[in-house]
Amino acid sequence: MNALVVIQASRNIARIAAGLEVSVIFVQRAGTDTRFLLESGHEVYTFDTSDEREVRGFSSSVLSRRQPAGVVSLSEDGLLAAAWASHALMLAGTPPAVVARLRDKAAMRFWLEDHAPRLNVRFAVPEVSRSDYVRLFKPGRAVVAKPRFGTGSKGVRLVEDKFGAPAEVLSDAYLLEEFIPGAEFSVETFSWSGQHEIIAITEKVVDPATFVEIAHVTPPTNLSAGDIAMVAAATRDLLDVVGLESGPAHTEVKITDRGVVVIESHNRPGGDGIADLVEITTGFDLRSASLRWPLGEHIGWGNARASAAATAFFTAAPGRVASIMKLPPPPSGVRMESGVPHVRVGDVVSSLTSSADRVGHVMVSGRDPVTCLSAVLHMTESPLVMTEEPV
Amino acid sequence: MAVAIICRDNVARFRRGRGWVVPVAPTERYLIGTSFGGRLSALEPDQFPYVMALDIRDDDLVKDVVRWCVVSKGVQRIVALHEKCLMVAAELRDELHLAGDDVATTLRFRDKVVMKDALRVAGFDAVPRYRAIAAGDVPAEPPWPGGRWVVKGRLGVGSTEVRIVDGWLAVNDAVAELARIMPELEVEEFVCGHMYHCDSVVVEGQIEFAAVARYFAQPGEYAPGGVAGSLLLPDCALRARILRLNHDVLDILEMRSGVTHLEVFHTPDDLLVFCEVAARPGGGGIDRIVERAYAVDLVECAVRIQCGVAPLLPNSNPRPAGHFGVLGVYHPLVGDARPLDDATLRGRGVLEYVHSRRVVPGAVVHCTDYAHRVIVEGESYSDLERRMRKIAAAVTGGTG
Repeated sequence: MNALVVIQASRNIARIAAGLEVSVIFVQRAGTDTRFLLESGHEVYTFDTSDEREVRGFSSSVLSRRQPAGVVSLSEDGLLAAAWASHALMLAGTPPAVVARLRDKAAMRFWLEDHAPRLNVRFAVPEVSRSDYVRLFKPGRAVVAKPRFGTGSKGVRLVEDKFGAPAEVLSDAYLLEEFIPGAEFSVETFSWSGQHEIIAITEKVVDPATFVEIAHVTPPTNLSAGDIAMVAAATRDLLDVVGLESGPAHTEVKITDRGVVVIESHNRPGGDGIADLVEITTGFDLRSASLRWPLGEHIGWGNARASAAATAFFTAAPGRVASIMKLPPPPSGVRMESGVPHVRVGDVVSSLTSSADRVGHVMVSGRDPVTCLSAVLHMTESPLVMTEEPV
Repeated sequence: MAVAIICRDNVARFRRGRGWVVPVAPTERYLIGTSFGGRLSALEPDQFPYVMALDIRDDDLVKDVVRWCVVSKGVQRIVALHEKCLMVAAELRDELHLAGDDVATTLRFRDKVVMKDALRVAGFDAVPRYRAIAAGDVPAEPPWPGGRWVVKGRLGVGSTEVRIVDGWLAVNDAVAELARIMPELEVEEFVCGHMYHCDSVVVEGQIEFAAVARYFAQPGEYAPGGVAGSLLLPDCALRARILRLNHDVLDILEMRSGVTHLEVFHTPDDLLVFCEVAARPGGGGIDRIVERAYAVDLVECAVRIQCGVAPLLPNSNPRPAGHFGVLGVYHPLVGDARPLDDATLRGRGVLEYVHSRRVVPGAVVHCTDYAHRVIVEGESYSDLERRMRKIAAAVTGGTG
C-alpha cells in the first residue's frame, strides 16, 4: 500500500504510525524538534504547515509523486494542514471547511447559531459585534473568554464584567461566551459515512480558576442512562450539523436545564490520555483507528481491560524543578496503569495557565469510576515535583 | 538569500563547534538530506528549521523538493558536496536558471571519460589509455597491449565501482559485474606508482589555494580491516610539479569557482599521470589535515562558493603549520571495530580521533568508510609516516 502522511506527529503518535504496515511520511511544522523522527530514520518534511498555500503547493509538488494513500493529523495544529493536503491530493479526509469550522471556536458558534441554536450558548466576538458583547453580560451570568484557536485551556479566563475585560480579549483573536456551570463531558466518536458511533464518554475535572483540566474519568461518575442518551444524541446532532462525516471527533458538552450544549469539538481524538482511558475501558484504540481510517481501514473493538479508568495531573508551584519525588502508590481497589513526571530536574515550571504547565500524571483502572477518580485525585494531592525560585 | 543544501553525508560535516558553515540565516536554509544511519542526528531545529529527510538516492524526489524550494521559498542557490549529488544539483541549476556549476561543467568533473576526452582534445597527454565500455560491448581483443586493467564506473564514486583485474578475459567479468550497478563504464590501463591528490580552491578561474598529499595506501587497496589515508606533502619538486599539473587540468576543464580534488599517479620512472578530478572537497578527513596545516576549511570554502559568497582564505598561499596526515582504518569483514584505546593513540602525535560505527554490513563499500579516523602530526614528513605506520600496525596487528 502507498504511504500515509502524518502531519504534526507527537512522539507517541509517531511510534504508533511507524508500527503500521505502510510507509509513513511525517510532515512537521518548521522549527519544531524533529530529532525523534530523524533518529529513527523516518522520511520527514518540515515547513510552515499553518500556511494553506504552502501546504497545498508542497502536496502537489512533492507529496503527489509518492501517491500517498492518506493524510492524517491527530494534533490540533495539524488538522487544517491535513485537510488542505488531502484536498490537494484528492484523498479521503475531512473537508477543510469542516475542520476550520471546528478549529475556530467562534466560527463554530456562528455556525451553530445559524444551523443548531439548540446546541449553542450565548456568545460574542467583541471585534465583530460590540453590542453582542455588551448584551452577553447579565447579572448572575459568568462570562468566559477563550482564544479562538486556543488549545490546552491556554488563555481561557473568566471575565467579571464588560468593563473589566483585558484589552486582548476584546480583539478578533478571542471569543467570549456565557459560562455554563456544572460537570463537563467529553464524547469520543468515530464516524463512517455520516454514521457517528459513540465510543466513550469521559467526565473532566477542571481547575476552577484557570479552566485547566486536572482529571478525567470514564465512564462519568454520575450520568443517568437518560443523560447518556441525551449527550449521545446531541453529539451526533452536532457532527451532522457541522458536516463531519468520517473519522474521529472529540466533543465537549455540558448538560443544562435546556438540554445539552456544546462547549467545543475537534476532528481528532481527545488528548490528555483520554485515548488511553477509552482503550482500557472499551478496547477501542482511538489513535490507531484515527491513523488508519484515511487508509480505508475500519478497526473494530478490542477487549476492555477494566470497567472504569481515571487520570489526574500533578501541578507544581512555578519555579525551577529542584527534585522529583517517587510516585505515590495507588490506593487499594485500583490498578496503576501509568504515571510519569513530565519534567526533569532543571526544567522551569510556569504558573498553571495551560495543560502544558502540568508536571506529571497518574492513570489507574478499576471497577467503578468514583473509586478511580478519587484514587487519582488523592494520589495527585501529594507533590510530585519540588520547585525553587527560577534562577 | 535562501539556499537549498543537498546533503548525502552526515550533516555534522557542516558543523564547526557551535556553529555551522552555511553562510545564510537559519530561516534561509533548506536542508535536503537523509536520516539513514543517523546522518541528520546532529541537526538543531533552530539552525535548520526547514528539513526534508528523504531517500536521497531518489533523484526525482530530490528534484521535486528543490524545485518546490526554488519556486515557493525563493531559493537562489543549491549547495551539493557529495559526488553523487553534483549532477542533480547541476541539472536543477540549468533547469531553474540558477547560478553555480552547470551540467556541462559538472560533467567534465564527474564523468571519467568526458574529463579525459576534454584533456586529450586540449593536448594534455599525461592521461592513461582509456576507452568507454559497456556490458556486451567488450572487444574480443584488448585495445592496447597490457596485462593489468582497471575497470571503472564512469560516474563511480570513492573507488566503489573500481576493479583492478589481470588479463583481458577478466575484464569481461568485471564489466559484467559492474554493469549491474552502473551501466556506463570505462576500461583504463593500470598505472604503476604512488598516488597523490591535490586539493584546491578556485575563485573566478584562479587557483587561490592548493595543497598536495600522498595517499597512504596504493590505489584500490581498500579492504575490510585495511588502512588508508593521506600525508600532506611538504615543499618539494614533486609537489611543485603536481601543482602545475593541477593548474593545467583545472584550466582545461574550465573550473570557474569551486573546490576540487584531483588524483594523480607518480610512476616509478618519475612521470605524472592524471587519474581523475572531482569538483568537491576530498573526503576521508582530507579537509581536516588541510585545515590543520593551512587554516583553510575546504568544506566551508565549497559551501561558501556554492552560496555565492567569497571563501575564507589566507592572503597568500601559506606555508604549512606542520606535518599532518590522516589515517583511516576500515571495519573488519564481520562485526564492528571497537573504538581505539588511549594506549594505541598516546605518544604518536594524534590530534583527533573519530570512531564511526559501521553503517552497511560486509565489505568496504566506499574508500572513506573508516571505522577509525586519526589525524596525526609528525615532527617531519618521515616522522609523520613512521607514526602513521605505527598506529596502523597497532590497530591491525601488523609489524609497522
